[in-house]
Amino acid sequence: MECIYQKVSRGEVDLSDETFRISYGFELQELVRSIGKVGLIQPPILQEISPRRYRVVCGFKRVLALGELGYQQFTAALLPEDVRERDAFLINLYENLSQRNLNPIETAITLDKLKKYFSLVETQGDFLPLLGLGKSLPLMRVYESILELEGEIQMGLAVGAITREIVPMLLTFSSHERLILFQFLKRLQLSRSKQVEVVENLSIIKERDAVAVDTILTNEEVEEILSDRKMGLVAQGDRIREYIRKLRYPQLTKAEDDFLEKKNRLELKGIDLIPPPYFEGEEFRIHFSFTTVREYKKKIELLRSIADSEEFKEIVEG
Amino acid sequence: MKRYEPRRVIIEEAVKDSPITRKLLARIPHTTPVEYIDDPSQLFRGEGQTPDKEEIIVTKNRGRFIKPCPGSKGYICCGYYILNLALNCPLSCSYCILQSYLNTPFVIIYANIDDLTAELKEFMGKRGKQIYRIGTGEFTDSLVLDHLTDYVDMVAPLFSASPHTFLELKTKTAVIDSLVKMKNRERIIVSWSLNTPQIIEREEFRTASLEERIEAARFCEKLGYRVGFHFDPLISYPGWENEYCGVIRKLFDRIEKKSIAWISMGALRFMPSLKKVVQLRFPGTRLFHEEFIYGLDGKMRYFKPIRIEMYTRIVEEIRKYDPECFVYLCMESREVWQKSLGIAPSSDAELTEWLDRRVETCHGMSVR
Repeated sequence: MECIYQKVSRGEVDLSDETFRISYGFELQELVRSIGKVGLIQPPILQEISPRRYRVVCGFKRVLALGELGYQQFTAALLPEDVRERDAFLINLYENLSQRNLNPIETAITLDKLKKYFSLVETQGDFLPLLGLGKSLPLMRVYESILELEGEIQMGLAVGAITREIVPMLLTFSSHERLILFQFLKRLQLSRSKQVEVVENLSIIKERDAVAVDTILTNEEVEEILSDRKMGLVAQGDRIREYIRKLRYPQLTKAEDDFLEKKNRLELKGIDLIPPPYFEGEEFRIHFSFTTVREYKKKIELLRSIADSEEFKEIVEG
Repeated sequence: MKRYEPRRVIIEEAVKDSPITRKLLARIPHTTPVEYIDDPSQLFRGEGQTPDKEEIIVTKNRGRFIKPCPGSKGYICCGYYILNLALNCPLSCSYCILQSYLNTPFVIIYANIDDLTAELKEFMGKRGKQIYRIGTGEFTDSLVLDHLTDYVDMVAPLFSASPHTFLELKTKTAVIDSLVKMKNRERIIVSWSLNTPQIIEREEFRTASLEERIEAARFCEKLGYRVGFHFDPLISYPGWENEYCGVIRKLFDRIEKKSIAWISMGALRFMPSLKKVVQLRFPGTRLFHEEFIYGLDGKMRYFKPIRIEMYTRIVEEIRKYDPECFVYLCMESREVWQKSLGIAPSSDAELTEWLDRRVETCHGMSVR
C-alpha cells in the first residue's frame, strides 16, 4: 500500500467526516506555531471518497492548523481508494499511539470505533493492551461509559481537570448533579485520590439519605468554606472533604472528635497519643521525641501523671 | 426456590466414571451439553465467561479435601475444619466473598470420592478423642448441588465411623431430600444461614426464602437432626432491628429450642477488592452504605459500635425465647464478645472448647 503525494485544496477536504478521527480536547496553537515556523513536515493522510473529495485518515489537527494559517492548498499523502475502512482506521490509530498517549476521551472514542471493525475478543486481546488497559473488560466498560458524560465533563477529563476513576460514580448522578459536581471538583483542584473519596462519599450519601448533591454542596458550611478568602485552595479542599466525610461516616467521625477532645483535655504537650486505627483494635500508642535527658524526663513525668487520670482511663478502657 | 441446573457440563476424562459424575449425568436434562477434556485447569479462570456459575466442571481435587479454617488475624476463630467437596456456589448472594476469593466463573465439583474417603479416614484415625467440627459450606453451599451429586449421601456415612467428628451442613436452600433418606443422623448438624426477608429478596438471589429455610429446618428437626442457624452476614440497614427480631420470632415459633445446636452471628465483612466486583455485578446494591472500616485482618467491617449494637440487640431477642441458647460470634474480637454477649473466650482454643462441649452435649454424649 503506497500513498501518492499530491497537492490538495483545503476546500476539498471534508472535515465533517469523522470516520477516523480520535483526537479530542487538544490545544491547536502550538501546532499552528510550529507549522508557521518550519512548514508542514509530515503531510496528513487523506483518502478520496468521491472525485476531488477527501476525508482525513490521519492528521486532523494538521489540517485544522493549516486552515488557521490560511493555507488554501497543501501536500497530502493520498491513501489508495481500495484500502478498507478498517485498515485506514488502524493506520490512524497506530500513528497516534506511536506519537503520544491518548487522553481518556480519545481512548473512549477509539474503543467505540473499534467496535465497528472488531469483535470483543479481538478488541480485548489485541487493542486493550495497546491502549494501556491490560485485558480488562471492566476497565474497558469504564472508558466506554465516558461517552455518556456531558461534553463539558468530557473536556474536563481530556484536560485532566478530573480523573477517569470517578466516571462510574459520576454516572450514578443525574446530569444536573454531575455538572454541579464537576464545577465543584474543577474549582477545588483536588488530587486524584481525594476526588475519588469525595465523589464516592457523595454518591453514597445521596443514595443513603435521599438527598440531592446540590443540597449538600450549597450547604451553609460549604459556602462559608468556599467564601473564606484567607483560606488557600488546598485548605478549602481539605475542609470540604472533611465535611463530606462527616456526613458519610457520622459515627466514626464523632468517635474521632470525642477522642480528640479527651486527648486535648490531657494536655499532653509534645506527646502524641495515637488510638488503634479506626478504634478497631485495643492497642494505643504514644509517640514523642526529645533532644535532651531533661526533656525526656519531663515527658516521662507527664506520662506518669496521666496514668491515673479519669480522662486517660476513659480513653483507654472506654 | 428453583433447583440449580447447569447450562453446560465439562468433565475431566480422569473422573468420567466416578460415581459423582455418573449421578450428575443421570440427573441433568439430556439436552444439557456435556464435554470431556483432559485438563480442565486451563479453563478455570474462564476469561470472558459470565460470572454466573452456569457451567459445571467435574474434576479431580489434586489438593487436600480437609483444611482448618484459616481464621482471621486479630479475631477469635472457633477451630472449625472445612471439607471442600466443591468450589463456587450457584446461588448468587451479592455479598459473597467467593466472588473475589475464587478466580473462576465455573462451579467446580470434585469427583475423586475415593481420595476423599481415604483422606477423611486418615484424618479421623489420627485424631484420637479430640472433637472435630467439619463443615462443607465454606466454598460452596452444602446442599445446593446435592440433587445432582448426592454428596451428602456419600459423605455423611463416613462420619459414623468416628464418634468424635461432626459434620455441619450449612445452606441457604431447602434441598433436603438426601437428609430425609439418611439413616445415620447422629453426628450431622444441619444449619441455615438466615437473614431478613428484605435482605434475602435484595441480596441473596436464587436462594430459598426465609419461610422455605425455616420450614426445611423444621422438617429436619422432625427427622431428628440437630439444627443450627447462622445470622451471617448480619447487614445493617434502616429497619434492621425490627426485621431481624421478626426472623428470630419466626424461628422460635417454628423450631423447638432444644433442637437448636447453636446460633452464630457475624456482621458483614469482606476483602476490599470485593466491593468493586459487587458494584459491577449488582449495581443497585445498598450493601456499602453503612460505615465500614478496615479490620485488623485487612477486611472491611462495620465500625465497632455498629457491630456491638447489632449483636447486643439480636442476642437480647434470642434470649427472650431461650435464655440458654448457645450463641457465638464468628470472627470477632474479645472486646466485641464481652460488650455484646457479656462473655468472651480468652482465645481460639477456648472458643473451640466451648463449641466442642456444645456439640457433645447436644448429641447427648460424652465421648472423652
